[in-house]
Amino acid sequence: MDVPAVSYNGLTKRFADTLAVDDVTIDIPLGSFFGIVGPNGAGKTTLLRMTTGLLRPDAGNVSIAGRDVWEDPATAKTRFGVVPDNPSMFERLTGRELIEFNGMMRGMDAEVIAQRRESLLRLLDLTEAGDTIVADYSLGMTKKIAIACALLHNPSVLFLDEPFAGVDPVARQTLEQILRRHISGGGTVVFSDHAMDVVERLCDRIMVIDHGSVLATGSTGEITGGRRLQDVFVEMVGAQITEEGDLEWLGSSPD
Amino acid sequence: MARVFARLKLRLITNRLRRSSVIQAFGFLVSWLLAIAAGIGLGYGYGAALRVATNDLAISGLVFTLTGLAWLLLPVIAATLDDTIEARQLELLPFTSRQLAFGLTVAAVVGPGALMTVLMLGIGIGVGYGFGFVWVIQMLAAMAGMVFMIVISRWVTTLLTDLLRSRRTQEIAALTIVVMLTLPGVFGSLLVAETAESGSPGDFDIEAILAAIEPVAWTPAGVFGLVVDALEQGDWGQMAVGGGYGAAGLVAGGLLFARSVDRLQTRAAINRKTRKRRGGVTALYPKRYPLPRTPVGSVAAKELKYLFRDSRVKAQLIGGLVATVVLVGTGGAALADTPYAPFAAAFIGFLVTASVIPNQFGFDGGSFWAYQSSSIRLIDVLAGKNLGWAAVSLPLVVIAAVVAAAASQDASYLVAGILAGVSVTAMFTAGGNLTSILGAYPLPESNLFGSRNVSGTALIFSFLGLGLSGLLIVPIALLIGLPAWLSGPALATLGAVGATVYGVGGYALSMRWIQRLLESRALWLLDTIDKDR
Repeated sequence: MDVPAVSYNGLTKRFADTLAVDDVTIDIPLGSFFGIVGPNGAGKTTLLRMTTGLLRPDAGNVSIAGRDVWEDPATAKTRFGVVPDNPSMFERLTGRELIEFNGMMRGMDAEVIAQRRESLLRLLDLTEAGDTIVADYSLGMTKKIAIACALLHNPSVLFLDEPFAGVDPVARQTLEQILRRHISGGGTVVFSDHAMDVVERLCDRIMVIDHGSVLATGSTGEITGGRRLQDVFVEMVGAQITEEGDLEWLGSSPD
Repeated sequence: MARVFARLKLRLITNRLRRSSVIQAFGFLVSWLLAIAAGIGLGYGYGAALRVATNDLAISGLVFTLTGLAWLLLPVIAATLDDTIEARQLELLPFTSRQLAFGLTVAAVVGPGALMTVLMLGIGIGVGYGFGFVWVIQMLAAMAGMVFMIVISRWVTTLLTDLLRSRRTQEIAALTIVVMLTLPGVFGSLLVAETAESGSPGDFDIEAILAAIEPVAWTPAGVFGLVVDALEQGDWGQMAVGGGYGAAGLVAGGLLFARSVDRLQTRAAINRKTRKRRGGVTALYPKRYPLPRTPVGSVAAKELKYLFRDSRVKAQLIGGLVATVVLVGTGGAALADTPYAPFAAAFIGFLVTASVIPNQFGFDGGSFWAYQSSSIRLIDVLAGKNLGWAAVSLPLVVIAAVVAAAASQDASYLVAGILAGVSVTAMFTAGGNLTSILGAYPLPESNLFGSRNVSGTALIFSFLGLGLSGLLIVPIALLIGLPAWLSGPALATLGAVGATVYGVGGYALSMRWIQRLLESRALWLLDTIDKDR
């Protein structure tokens, strides 16, 4: 039997009175394009942070390709790459230097780094911008360089927190191509996003999370049942319907 | 309008208190108590000086000028002391820039700085001249002076906020401030050198000095002291001239403040593009430093890159270099053939190391996650940072020792000086490493002059760490200083070898202990440094 790409077992996290992640137990198969969706504050980012060694869980465990993230972090971290939402990078390095720095930090061979760096920069349309410091990058370019850093060591699992937020359609297209290529090479992509159309189009498996609990998980077809993911999602998490009489003043002349 | 801004400021202060931990609340309370104590103490000092000295104009002019300077400099170098409301936070509200400038000035009046100023001036003038009807009029002039100081202070900080949006002007501002902060040291050193030559230290004529500084009563802030003095003397002519000058200054300051608010809100910051290397591509490793191609070496290389690209780090280093040149250059001759000579290089080692080492992780700010989510060990990150800074500070130590030897025309302490510098750098780095872990606070690269997220615990650990580092270098001073005093250069050199073994050995030992500490503090560091996540 294949070892799952990611395996959650009773993962729980509480912040004071708020249960941010509640007993998440789920396996993400190798080679899947896995989407995590949920409203704001549902626990998506907390879940991803615990998965990538940035936040210690209160209970439960998480393994990446068979290695427990919190028992054997050094090995587990060689097997994944991560792009947080709004990634803060070492912005006084140029794109090329930043990629080289990430590779050297991971103990990679200098020649391999140089080879992969140039190919990633070319693929991400950053060859020209490679010698510009990251502080001068647009949001889309910053996300692309963050993805290049995350892919450099050829991880088996790639975690991305809202990778498409604030990214223009051209950059989005490029990112999608790269992620698909990663999947076709045998890799796994786990990402959270609010854009339901993107999740529906890209992912073969989806998890819906709200108030820290998993509401549903399965293949995209199983979750949507032939309907739009947007509608299924709103139904699951409960929409706030504006009642007649609310906000009557809105749109009238200012006082 | 004034009430709205005053209430907003009070609300910010109470909200901050509500969200504070016990230590933070204690620190907050202490800052207010200190402001009150300092206001009363300085006020009595000012009043006593007015009673004793015969030149009241110089005393009041000096007090108002220095208070104005403090208002100008403190918000820049100690940005975390007050809950300042910034113009950019209110840019979408329907205020004109003049209304906003007025409101921000009112908000700035609610705070420990203004309380201290009111107490100091009120008590000073009262103790000096009595608390009668004239005191009330004098206080009106003094309060107008305080408003002027606040307006100018807010104008400068708003102007800096505007300038600091672009990297080029960040560098200019950082270097300017470093030079400003270094100036007292330069003048102090020159004074020491001058006194050493004239051989008459402590031979001061107070009245002559007061007469010499009397013109400060005509500085824009000092002129309010001049009005206070004129009210006491009943000099209507001086009062009219001073009052007119002061009022004109206040109006001009207000207009400048409003203009800088407008510029900040309506002008985009323009960054100069990075200069690209001709031919080839940029590489992480600097050519002239033979750094190892390992995770440790890569962090050292990154630190060296930052040395030339991060305005704050660059400014701190240049500040260190300026201090080196000034202190060694002016003090070198005085140190000739004295047991103090070995400590010139040690002082430079301390100065350069102390500028960054005690908060190494904090300087990474929001980028710290990159270490934590990669497979690099944090101890290797720390070692890399140490290596990068050693590559900067150790050459400076050698240069300082050589310059000191050349300036004093005495090379007998050269080796002891270099070894003293090496041992102090190593031991202070060990203490700084510990402080970096226990007392880290976020100081990311995009934030030039401070952070609002400094916890009380971090500050306490920072001070404790610096104190510990100071204690750790005492044995070095004894190992080199005692033989130097008792015997001379030969024994001092021997002592310096022992000091180097102590310093470098202490560093190596500390790294073994710190490795265990880092394992348990890694996530605390991430939460503390990367507040936005």
